[in-house]
This record gives sequence, structure tokens and C-alpha cells, in this order.
Amino acid sequence: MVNKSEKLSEGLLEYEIQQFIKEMIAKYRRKRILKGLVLGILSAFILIFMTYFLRIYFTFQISAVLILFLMTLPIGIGLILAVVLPIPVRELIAAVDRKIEFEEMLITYYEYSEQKGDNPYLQLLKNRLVSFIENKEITDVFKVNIHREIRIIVIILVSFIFLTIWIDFSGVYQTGSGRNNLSPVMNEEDSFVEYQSTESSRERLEQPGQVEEEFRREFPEISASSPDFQPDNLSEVEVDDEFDWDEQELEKGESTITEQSDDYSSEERESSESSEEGGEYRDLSDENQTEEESESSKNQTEDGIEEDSERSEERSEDSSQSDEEGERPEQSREGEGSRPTDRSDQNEQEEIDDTERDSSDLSEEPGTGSSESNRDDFQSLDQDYEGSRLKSGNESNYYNRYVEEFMRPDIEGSESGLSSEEMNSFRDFIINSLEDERIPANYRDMVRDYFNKIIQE
Amino acid sequence: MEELKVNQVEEYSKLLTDARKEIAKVIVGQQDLIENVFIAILCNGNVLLEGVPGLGKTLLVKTLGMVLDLDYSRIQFTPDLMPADIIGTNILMESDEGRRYFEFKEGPIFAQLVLVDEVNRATPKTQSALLEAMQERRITVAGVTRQLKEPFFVLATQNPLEMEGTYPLPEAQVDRFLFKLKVDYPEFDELKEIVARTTVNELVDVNSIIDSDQLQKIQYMVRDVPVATEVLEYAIKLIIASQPEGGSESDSVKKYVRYGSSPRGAQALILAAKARAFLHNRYNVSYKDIKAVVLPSLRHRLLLNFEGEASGIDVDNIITDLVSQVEV
Repeated sequence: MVNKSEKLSEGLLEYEIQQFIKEMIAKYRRKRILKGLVLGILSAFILIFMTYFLRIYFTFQISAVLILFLMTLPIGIGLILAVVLPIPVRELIAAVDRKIEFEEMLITYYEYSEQKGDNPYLQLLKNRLVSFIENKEITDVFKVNIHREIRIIVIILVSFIFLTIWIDFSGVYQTGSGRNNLSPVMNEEDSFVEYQSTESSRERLEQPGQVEEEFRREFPEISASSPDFQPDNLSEVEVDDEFDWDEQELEKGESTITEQSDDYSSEERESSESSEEGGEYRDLSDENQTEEESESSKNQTEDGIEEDSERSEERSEDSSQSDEEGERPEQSREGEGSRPTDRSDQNEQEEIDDTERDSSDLSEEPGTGSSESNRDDFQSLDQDYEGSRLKSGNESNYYNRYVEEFMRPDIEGSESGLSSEEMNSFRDFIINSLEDERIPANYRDMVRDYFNKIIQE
Repeated sequence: MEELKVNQVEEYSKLLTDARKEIAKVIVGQQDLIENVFIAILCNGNVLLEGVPGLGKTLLVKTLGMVLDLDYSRIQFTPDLMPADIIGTNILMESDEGRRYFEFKEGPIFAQLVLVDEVNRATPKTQSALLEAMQERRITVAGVTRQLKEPFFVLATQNPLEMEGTYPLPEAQVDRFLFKLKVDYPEFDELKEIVARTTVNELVDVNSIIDSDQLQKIQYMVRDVPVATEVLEYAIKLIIASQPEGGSESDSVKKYVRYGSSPRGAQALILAAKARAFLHNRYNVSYKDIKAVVLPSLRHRLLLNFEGEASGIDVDNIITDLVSQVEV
């Protein structure tokens, strides 16, 4: 009977110790899960941050799905590892010993009860251990420091919010070509090679010779293999036009109005020379386009490529204080969605104000005759200015048509229809332009490969 | 051995506490010294006491012999002391019938508690006579091996100041001491008490508390004290860290130590920790026990290099640095 009660007592003591160890393991697991969560969030933040910087050098799409994936992957991994990974019981018990100051009784008992059960001190150790467990205040073992963890998460979230200032997750720049979520800079850089993606342009590209014919009709001087055509001279113009055409267009407008020149071809060389210092519309300034021509060029904007023309016309309309608003034909707006429209209203308003101020200055400048003659002068100047705007659009159109012609994938291997001089000069122009750092790396290789594969017959 | 019972362990622990109290009747202060001597005795180890003369070393050993009811002997080492003077010799005897024969005359080593005073004054040859006795608990004279009485302890003293005319103990012999204990000067109050006690006619009566059999039982029990693997590994880490070629993290070890502790040092460390746990009425070894005995266990096992000797580096400082650097 005594032996039985002793055994029962021993069993109870052992059970109490085992329960204590289980409780410690549960506390440790809770703490590890929380740590896994915090580390996962931290890793997700770092991943997204790294992705942002990688995007500078490697072109790839960042979508909401990718962001979600980058967020959930490390958090999920952290949580799964925290739950699934086995808990090192020995190390845990040793840590409990140190934290509660059991003087290594728990780890010693745990080890000897498993391996050396016949040790004479084991029973004594068990008794003392149970009395320690019962009497010792055990609250701060593996205590989860919620405040600290929350603080870390808040810091991460605040940092993430600041990061979103640089990364646009809204999908505003998402285009129909599937190229979405680009930053404004990336979108503008890459837009010139993205035109081919619109439906209308694809349809036109499928008709052999259509683009060539359009180009020749639109630019008779260049299509006649004029030796004056120097694509190299266009490089700065085109690149600058992509970025700075707001200010430079206004400058161009001023210069055009000031010169009051009806014959653009006579000023071709001067204009070309001055363009190397930052001017615009050098090579095509010799086209003394009539209003009909400009109208025909406007009609070419149906495929959505010619928003520059639209913009210039709208601006011209504003500058002439909307007098001719009712007379002008409605412009096609199909392509608005595919063009970068990052210009702010404020800048536009400033430009309009500048143009108005210039126009008002100029209306007084001629001053040689009556107010009617001044008004006529002003109207003619305004038309010239408007024409120059349209040239800007035509120039962009010309450039983009070339890109379409050369970059379209579905006519690879077919006859180009361009003369070898044109093709060579344009190839040189394009390859020289590739050195521009704003052109994405993978596009450079793609374009270079494309031109290198062209065989001259 | 029969299974230990709670009351049995507590009984022996109480005996040891009483023995310490009995010693304290004679020896004033020096609690750490007394505890460490007790630990060494529980480990069946030898102790090297280092201290200037007049600090009560001989008195301590004498009192200890009385309290533990052990045969006590004292040997004063001098340069002309011969091995036979320690271990004994065969002398020619003549019987009543006129027959002559050799009879072995036991030396002072044949005791249970041997105090070797100024052990470094004897020649190496004489010192080496202690070697077998300390380690093997037996001696060999004229081809005959004789067992020493159990338990057997050697408590040797040496003067750290007078180095002239001394023969420093060889490393092999020093390693055989479980502990090297430093006997410090007494504190003010302790010295006052010493003077008050020893300058009167009243003699203190010291009783025997533990007999030899009980002591041997305790020694056996001490070896059974459980030690967790983590604690054992900590002791091993300390030993490894004391070796300059063992990848020690301590700069002072790398700079000033020529030889670190031997494996015997690790044995001493663990065994002493067990004895300390038992002495403190605990049933397992903790990190505290290891740290408490690391200095007396290792200070005589670390040999300084020339730079360390020339700079007057204290080995205790190196060991303290070691303990602070090795993580639990």
C-alpha cells in the first residue's frame, strides 16, 4: 500500500514537471510565431524595396498581384516555419533554467530521466524541482513583448507608406498593351516603342506598303531620298522632344512668331544649326505647310498616335483665345489613353498664360499700321505658330511611323520598301540613340539585334 | 551502493556543515579556504596551499585532521630531505634469537592527512617521491608496493616570496594537485579575533565530527551528483579556451599563456563542482558551481610564457577574463 502511494506520488510529481515543460513549449511556440510574423513583414518590405531598385536596371512588370505575392510570400514562409519547424526542447529547457534560475535542475532532470533513470539523485531532484515549480513565480518566461513587436510593425508600415510615394501601385499607367504600373519616367521613356500595340496600327501594318505610302505622302521630301535627310541630326530633337517639348515648343513658338518668316525653307540651315543648341523642328522646318496639309496631318491621328498634334492644336486654340474654336474640325481622341498624359494642369495653364502674354506682346510689336493690320499680322503669325505646332506633331508622327515600320514583328523578313540610304541612315540614327541611358536595357538589345539582322539586297 | 534517500543526503550534508563549524572554532575567517579544502577532500584530491608564513596553514590542516578523525602527519621539506625520509625505508633489525632481517619503517607519508610544509624547498628527487603517493595512493620501496591508508590527502604549502634556494615544482607534479588555494591575510575583525583567541591560556576543544568511513561514503556520493550535458560542455569550453593553441577567444590567453589546462583540469573542474553542489545541499551541478571552482582548479594548470612572467601577469586575472568571455 505504501509502495503504491509512493508510486502514485512519484507519478504525480513527474506529471507536474511534464506539464510545466509543455507549458513552456507552448509559450515558446507563441513567441516564435509572432517573431516569424514580424520577420516575414520585414522581409516583405525589404523584398518590395529591392524590387523597386531592381526595376531601374531590369525591365519587368510590377503588378498588384506581384506586390501581393511579395508581401504574402515571406510572411507565409515565416509563419509556416514558426509553426512547422520542430522546437528544440533541450535548448528550450536550458533557457527556462537560466531564466527562472532553477540552477539547471530542470535540464538535469530532463536529461537524467530520459537517459540515466537509475541515478540515486533523480528522485531527490524531482522532489525539489516540483517544490521550486510550485513556489516560484513563473510569469516572465518567453513573454511576448507585444509593445515592441507592434512598434516594429508600425515602423515597417510607415516606411512602406513613404515608399509608395516612389512606387505607384495604383495602375494609373497601365496600358492596353499589358505594360502596366510603370512609373511616370519609365512610361514616358518607353512610350515611343509602344505605339505599335494599338489595334488600328496593327491593322494598318498588316497591309503591305500602306505605311510606306502614307509616309511618302506625308513627307515627300524625305521619301524622295533626299540627301538632306540626316537622321543623326534628329537624335537630340527626338529625345528632347520626348521630355522637354513643353518648354521648347513655347520657345519654338516665340522664335517662329518673332521671325515672322513665311518661307521656312529659306531658313532651313540656320534653323538646323540653332537646333543643335537646344532648338526644335530643325529638319522639318523647311516644310512650308499649308493649313490643308496640317489638316491632313491631323487626320492621320486617328490611330491614337498623334496626341502631340492634338495638344499643340489645343494649345494654339487657347492662345488665340478660342476665336476659331467653332471653325476647327473635331480632333480624333481615340489615342488619348495610349499616350502619356502626365502633364499637370498647372503647367499647362502656365504655358497658356505665357503664350497669351507673348501673343499680346507681339500684337503690339508690329505697330506699324492700324490696329486692323496689327490684328491681321497677329492672325497670320498665329496661323504660322499653329502650323509649327502641327509640324511638331508631324515630326513625331514621322518618327513613330518609322519605328512602326521597322519594329513591327509581323513583317519580319519581308521587303522594307525603303532605299538603302534611308535605311542605313535611320539604322545609324537608331543605334546612336540607343546610347541614351533612358532607354531600357532590354529594348536596346532588342532594337540593336533587329537592325543588325536586316539584310541589304 | 544502496539507493540514496533524501534523509541520507541531508544527514551527510549536515555532518559536513557541522565539521566546518568545528573548524571555525579554531580557524578564524578563511571561509572560502575552508570550503575549498573541504571540496578537495570530498573529491579525494590534493591541495596546494600558497601563502606567506603565519597565516594558519598548518593549524588548518591539523584541525581538519582532528575534525575528520584522520591520521595526521607533517613533513617539513628541506633541501637535504631524501625520499626515504618521506616514504620510509628498510632497516636492518635483529631478532631476540640474533637473527637479522630487514624491516620496513614507514615514513610520514603513511598517514591519511599529510601536511607537506614548504614543498618547493626539497630537491626534485624528493618531490617526485610524493608523485606516486599523491596519484596512486601507494608507494614502492625496494620493489615492494605498499598501499596507503584511505582516505589519503596531501596538503602542501609553499611560500610565494622566498624563491631563493627553492626548487619550483615540476609541471607534472603541480598538475596532480586538485586545487591550488591562495591563503590571504585575515581581515581586521578576523585578525582581532585570532589574537584574542590565541593569546590566552584557554584552549579550544575540537571534536571529531566525521569518521573515515563516512567520509569515504560522501566521496562516493559526490561522484554520483548529476551534471547536465550543457553544464559539462560549459566546463569543457573553459578548458579549451584556456589553451592558446585551442582557438581561445581570450586575448590575454593568446598573449600571455604558454600552456593551457590539461584534461585533468577538466576532470578537476567537474568533480569539484559536484562536491560543491553536494556541500551546498543540492542534487545537481549548476553553472554557478563551475564558476566557483574554476579559479582553484585552473590557476596552477596555466603556464605563463616569458612575456606573461616578465609582465607580472596574475593567472587569476586571465582565468577571470576567460570566464567572462566564454558564454553559458
